[in-house]
Amino acid sequence: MNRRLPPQPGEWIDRDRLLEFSFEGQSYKGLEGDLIASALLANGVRMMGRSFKYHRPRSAYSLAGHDANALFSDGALTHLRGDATPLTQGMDLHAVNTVGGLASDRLKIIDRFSHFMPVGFYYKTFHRPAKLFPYHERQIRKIAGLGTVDPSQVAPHSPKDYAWCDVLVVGGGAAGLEAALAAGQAGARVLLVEESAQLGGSLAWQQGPEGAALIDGLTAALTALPQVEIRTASQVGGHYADHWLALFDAQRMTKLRAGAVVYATGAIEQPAVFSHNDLPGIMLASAAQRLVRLYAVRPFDRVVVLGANSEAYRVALDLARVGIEVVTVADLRPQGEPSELAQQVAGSRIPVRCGYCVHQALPSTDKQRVAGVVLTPLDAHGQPDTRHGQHIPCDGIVVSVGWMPNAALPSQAGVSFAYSDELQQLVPTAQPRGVFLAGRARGVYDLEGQHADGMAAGQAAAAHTGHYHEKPVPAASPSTRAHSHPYPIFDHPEKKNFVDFDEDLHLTDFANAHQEGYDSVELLKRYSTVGMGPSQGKLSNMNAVRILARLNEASIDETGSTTARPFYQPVPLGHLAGRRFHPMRRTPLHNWHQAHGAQFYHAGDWYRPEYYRHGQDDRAAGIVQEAQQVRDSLGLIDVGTLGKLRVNGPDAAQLLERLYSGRFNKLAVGRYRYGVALDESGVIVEDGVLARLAPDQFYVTATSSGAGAFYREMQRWALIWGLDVTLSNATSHLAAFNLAGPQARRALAGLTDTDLNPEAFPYLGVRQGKVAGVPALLMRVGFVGELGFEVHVPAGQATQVWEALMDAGQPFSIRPFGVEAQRLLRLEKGHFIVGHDTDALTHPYEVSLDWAIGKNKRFFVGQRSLEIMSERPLTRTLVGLRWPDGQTDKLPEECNLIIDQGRIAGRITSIAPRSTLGYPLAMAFVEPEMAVPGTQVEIRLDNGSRSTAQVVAMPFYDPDDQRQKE
Amino acid sequence: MTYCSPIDDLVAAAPQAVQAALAQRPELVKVGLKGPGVDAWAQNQDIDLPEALYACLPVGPDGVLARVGADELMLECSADEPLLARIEENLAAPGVYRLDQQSLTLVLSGPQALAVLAQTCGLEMAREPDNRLVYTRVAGASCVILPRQEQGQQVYRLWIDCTQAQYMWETLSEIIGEFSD
Repeated sequence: MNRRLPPQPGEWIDRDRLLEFSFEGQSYKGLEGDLIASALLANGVRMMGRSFKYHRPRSAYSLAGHDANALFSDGALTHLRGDATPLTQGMDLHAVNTVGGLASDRLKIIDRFSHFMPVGFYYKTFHRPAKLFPYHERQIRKIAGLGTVDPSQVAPHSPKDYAWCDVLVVGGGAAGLEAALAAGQAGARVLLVEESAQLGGSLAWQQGPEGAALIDGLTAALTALPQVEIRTASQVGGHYADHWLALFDAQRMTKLRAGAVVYATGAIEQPAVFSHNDLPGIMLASAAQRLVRLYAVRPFDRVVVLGANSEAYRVALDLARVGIEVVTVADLRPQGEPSELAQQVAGSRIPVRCGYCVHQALPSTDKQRVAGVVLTPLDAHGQPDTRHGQHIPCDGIVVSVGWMPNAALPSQAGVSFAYSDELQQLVPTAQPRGVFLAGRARGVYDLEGQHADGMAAGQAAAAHTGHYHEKPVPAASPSTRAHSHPYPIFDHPEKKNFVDFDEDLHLTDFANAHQEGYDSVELLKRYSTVGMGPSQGKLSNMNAVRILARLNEASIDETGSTTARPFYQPVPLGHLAGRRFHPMRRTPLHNWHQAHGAQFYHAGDWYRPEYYRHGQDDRAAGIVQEAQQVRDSLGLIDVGTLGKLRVNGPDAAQLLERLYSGRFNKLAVGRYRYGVALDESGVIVEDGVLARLAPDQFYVTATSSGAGAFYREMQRWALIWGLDVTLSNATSHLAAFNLAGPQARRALAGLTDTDLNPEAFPYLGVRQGKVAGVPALLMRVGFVGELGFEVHVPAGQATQVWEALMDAGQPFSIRPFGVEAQRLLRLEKGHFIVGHDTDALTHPYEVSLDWAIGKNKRFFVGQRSLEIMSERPLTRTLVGLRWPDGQTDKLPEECNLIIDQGRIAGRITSIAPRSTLGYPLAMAFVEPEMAVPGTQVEIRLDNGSRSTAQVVAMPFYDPDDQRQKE
Repeated sequence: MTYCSPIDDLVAAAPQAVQAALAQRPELVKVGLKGPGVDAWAQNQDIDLPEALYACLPVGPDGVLARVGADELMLECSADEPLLARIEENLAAPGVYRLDQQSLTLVLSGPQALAVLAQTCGLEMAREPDNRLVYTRVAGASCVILPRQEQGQQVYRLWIDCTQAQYMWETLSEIIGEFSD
């Protein structure tokens, strides 16, 4: 740490806590409280990275979190901003944008070919010959980007959370501290957010010991208020509607709801544009002050200050105070500094040249640092008079030519800004309700004014949230003297004069883009990429607008500025993701299934057993075996995911009559009927069975994935129609199983008090009784084409009943079967599944559901559309397809297309490559003329080959439904 | 009838820090009543009802009677609660329907309870009054939260869909575990 200064008043480093780290393989030492960049500079390391495009040597420039050329990787972490990331013990840092290391970066050669890479060159190059484009694309992708992500590293989840406050104060400088204090004293719950590690803002690095005392006083007053929370090292990333804000710290994103927001975000110091203005050793005045005052780092030994405001004189004094030789202050203003700072500088024997600029920075022989400047007087037009350039050796250049209000977040909040010719910067002109600005963000530069302004904003914000009941003190008036130069841009036509350090854009690029017609600020941004780098234009947008305004011969306001969008600073994607919430649902039997070899899959938001692994059975064989067991004897499936809705009340039948296409008014108690529901356009949206338990009580099943939405639809229609019904969704509260197979009655008989004889409990019957001592609802079903009983019981007793059924089925070699076996069985029966075999356009006529449409009904949802469709010819119909017995190859997948004479004539909706019938079978939509049984259809497979199938009548199995009616 | 919780094994295996902050209450019975005749029926039975929507009245040492809708009530109480027996015995009435009710109750308590909720729920629970139901989402799943005092301690009773019980337990216990690390 050979460049560490003696202790400085108010410094942020802890000299008792040494940290070891390495950079590019070299070991260094830093101190607790250091940033990565300050620690490197304290060790004399200036070159911290390579520029984005030309791979030029770069260093820290702002020390304020805007330095895109001081990005580092540390193990699996990448894109660590050196001027914002605290140094920690053991960091193994590397620059991100190099090939072969920072010093010997193999891509630095690109800088030599920069003349061949003007703005937009990649839009125009590499397109011809077209066959080489993939090669070029690969190479460009290899070179482009900053850093690499290691996909093998799984980032720990970020504990994203929510927070609430009355008044959010953004910025912990003089104005922000005062605003927080005023709002807190009024009784508001205040959250003060400061992006630096400590409070103070410019008080800390610009005002010296007096500033430190002010910070201490204000902080003590704030911490005495219990309703004030202070978060340092946190930043607001975005401001959304209704004061919904995204806060970020090292660990997490916090979604914050604020009643009012005070932006005391200060101003961002802006660069000057001159030749080689990107060399390591050149930095903003505020960066130099931060280094000296906060981190006790001596950034250079012999420095030239380029200034256009009071701050330039203040930094010259600060640097001289710690023994840095200030060779000269080159003041762009012909008349120089009007304040007493000029006398202080003169008293320190620091030469001042008014009306001078730095026209060139001169590189060292290794081109890795600044070695001198060429000072040039300015002519009457404010441009360098190159006849009188003077070469001055130095190892640092400090730039203090102006500021831009930190307007990104206020702009997102809806604050309007206009350019003030008096201040030569943007100032706010209008702000939405609940948003207040204070301090430099409003153009208030004097310290006294910032305090008053903060208090005014804090009181106004507290009043907005109902905590302050007096008239807030008046806001301070913006400064009357400009702290920014109107055009700190000095062209050296033979050299690179950088405007955007993130994207390596120099002055010539703007002239070229303008010449090509990109004369609007938004178009210029897209074409040149100005402002699109990691700092999002915080150091480049203002100068870019100035350049464009001059090229267009327009004012700044006429030129406009680009839109500020979240995020204010780069944020890790993991912070946005947060903890992964995937609320999957499990039936009450999940643990049983798991213990018995179930292979689960995601069915919507449910875990369902796809099949059960029996020994070494392969999946396909296992599924067919499960299905065969149902056909031969007995199987049990968990159908608890079915929607289970209760419709009670005097108008229950009326509601169902209107919601479903079938008739339910006269459905007898103890019976159920299949129902299909349509939307207003006649499309099938839901199906299930509707069981009548009492004259005013129905029990309705719905599809697993559609039940929630359909229940809401039921509620909506019941309200609209004003029906006297009481609805409840019992889906989660009841378990359901289907005991299916020819032995189902025998197995169930011993467990229930319900008479299962076919005469007493026929097919399509519903009964309420007990199963295994548990109150149950039983339905005679036939979905899988066999004798079946659906048993619905309270979820809490599901396992008890299921296990009793499994025990009772043992004499019949009962097996649990999964969803895949059920799909196969129902496919053999020709039963379609809504949402699987139907799509968002399928109406009942296309799936042969004419029988499910109540004739002469007065009304049901979708009826009018069906009437219209019934008069039109069908364009497709659902048919069965089969392949020869035993065929195992050249079979399609679901959604493969049916091709007829080169045209798409249909598609497969469901397929079973193996079935209990010995041949592959499928369901498919085909054109109506192809629906005749015996028609041969061709299906295009994924690999382009064709498969031939034959149209057959459905169902494939038990066409007279005898087995399920037994 | 015994309620078989789907998360018994998870609860038993949870670290002590988790068990101290998160508990299930499977022994509490829930009865839901819904229908236009509910208020009149309760009046006839001399059952005091919470008037405001989402308000709750205490029932016994652990129970609550909550108005979960304009014409919907839910009773959660121990199985031997006399009010439960009265309801069960006198339920048959026009316009009153018993609901299937198998929600699971979790109780979140301890110094980090609000912080756990802040990571999982977008509502500011610190500002919600006791004994008033909050219909919201926790960890992305629908949930009813009932802030209340139990044995002098602020607790949050969570009524969750039993099909999401395992997910909810795992998610909340993971967060609680991180606080105790």
